[in-house]
Amino acid sequence: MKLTATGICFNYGRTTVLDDVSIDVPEGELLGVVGPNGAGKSTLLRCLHGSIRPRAGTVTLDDKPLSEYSRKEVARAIAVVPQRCEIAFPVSVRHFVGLGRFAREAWLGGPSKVDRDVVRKSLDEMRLDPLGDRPVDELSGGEFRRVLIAQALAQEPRILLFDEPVQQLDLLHQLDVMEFARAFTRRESTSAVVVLHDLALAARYCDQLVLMQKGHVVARGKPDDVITPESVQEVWNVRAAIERSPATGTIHVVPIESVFP
Amino acid sequence: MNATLRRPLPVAIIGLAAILVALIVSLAVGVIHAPFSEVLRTLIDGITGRGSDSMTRTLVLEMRLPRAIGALSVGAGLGVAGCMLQALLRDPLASPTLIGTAQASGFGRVLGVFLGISYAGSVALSFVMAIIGTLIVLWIARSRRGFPSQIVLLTGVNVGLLFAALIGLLQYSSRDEGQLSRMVLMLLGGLWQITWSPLALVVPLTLATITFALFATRKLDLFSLGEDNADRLGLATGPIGTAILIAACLLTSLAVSIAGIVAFVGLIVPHAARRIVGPAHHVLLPACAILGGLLVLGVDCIARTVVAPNELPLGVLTSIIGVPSFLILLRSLSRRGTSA
Repeated sequence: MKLTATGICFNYGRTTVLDDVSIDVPEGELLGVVGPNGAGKSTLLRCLHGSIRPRAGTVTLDDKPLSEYSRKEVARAIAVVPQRCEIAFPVSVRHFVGLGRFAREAWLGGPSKVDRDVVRKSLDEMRLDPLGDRPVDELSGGEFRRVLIAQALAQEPRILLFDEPVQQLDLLHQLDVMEFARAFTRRESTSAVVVLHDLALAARYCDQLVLMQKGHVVARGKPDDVITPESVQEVWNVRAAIERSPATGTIHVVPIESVFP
Repeated sequence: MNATLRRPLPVAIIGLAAILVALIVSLAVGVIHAPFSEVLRTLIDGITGRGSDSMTRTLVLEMRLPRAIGALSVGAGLGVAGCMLQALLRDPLASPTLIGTAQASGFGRVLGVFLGISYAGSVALSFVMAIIGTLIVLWIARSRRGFPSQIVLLTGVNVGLLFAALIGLLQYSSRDEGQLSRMVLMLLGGLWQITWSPLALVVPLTLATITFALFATRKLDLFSLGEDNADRLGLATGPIGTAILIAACLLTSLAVSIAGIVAFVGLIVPHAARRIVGPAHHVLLPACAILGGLLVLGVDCIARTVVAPNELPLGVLTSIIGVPSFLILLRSLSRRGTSA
């Protein structure tokens, strides 16, 4: 499925958060969105699945404006793995993941056999089967992240949007999530967008990167072309060296000093 | 927690059986004790339309039965309303009395008596006021990220005080002593002198609204993840949230219409039910209806027997039970660190 944003603008009160942003999410690719705090990355993600409406510009899904789809139709195509989800009343992991089926369930009669099967498959895929009956508030950060991904998978989406999915995760879980995100985009007509702070992970796993600053897209392309000493200095105000790791063959950023203009 | 008690069918069967037993017991106890055998015979005669007028028949069918049905309806309605509000605001401390809905609704009901309009009219007025009161609270408390618990509760308590003051104003302005005492009793909460005629309106409406709520349990599960999360999973939060809020207001005003302000039921019942059946709403909601009904029926039996031949106001008793429970709840929430 094709997800495209064209010239979108958004503001909270008088603060402009997005200013004329255009991106398209290519099928079969993992698209990374990087940039400093307050660049508008998360807001862009919210516009991409229609949870907020841009003040100007349009977001289209298969060439039809997102606003012409119902919320259920959108949730069948696009799933979001949120940064966090606070739990007021701790249901079981299985029930929580099952809520991902909401957009596909019959109106009456609760979850069907198909629904239960998809939930089981999603749990399996995230290696959560042994935790199915645990209350969701008794999980570790890494486990809960996998539960959120399993819930998104239960929606059977074509497009996955990840909002800072590796924050507060240990090394193993960081790689785990990023590997999953990339693997997901290699399925049939699927794609994913991931908002990241870690430039090394972004460079290593994403097919393309979008670099944002103050609500604008300032660069877009292959990670090696987007992340350069010049762009890092311009966007983050940090003088940095870009080195290539012999172990992974991908680049990482070595910050040297802050250079406030 | 028992696994059987996490499924809707066993909960419904056990619950309905418990309600039936409690109902029959409540018909037997009172100032005049009616033996169970006689109660059962009278009930069967009443259903089949046989039997002649007797004192037991009047006592059971015209006095105690409407009162028991009224208590079940009030309790089930408030339990479900509390459950819906807690899910919608994802706040374990939300309830019709704490967010001002019940007081606003009570004001509407008393205004109906003050203006001397028909019973159905005063029920409608109470419903409209419940919605106005709740909307004021939510409008004031709303932030960009939903409804912060402390603000909702503070606003709710204050709006509740405002409506309590308005009720006081109406009582003060009343020239008619009969009317005044009706207004005072109404607000203390109780089921004195309840007859079949108000129940004929209120009970079917309560049942219909609870049925609606039973169809919305999946949506309540989603709402308790927060509005953002419900939205990303495909729920049209605006219209569905409004419908659920209206249903909660309607249940509150129906309960207030027959029993006045019966505090704390809407707060405690969902918590007790969550302990027994867990937080998933397809089981929790019916459990709230059942437990709420049982609680109010039980407390009403106590209210009319402990100081017989006099009786205690139901609302006063639920508060006496409710305040300590509320404080224990607050304590456990603050220990868990989730009261915010």
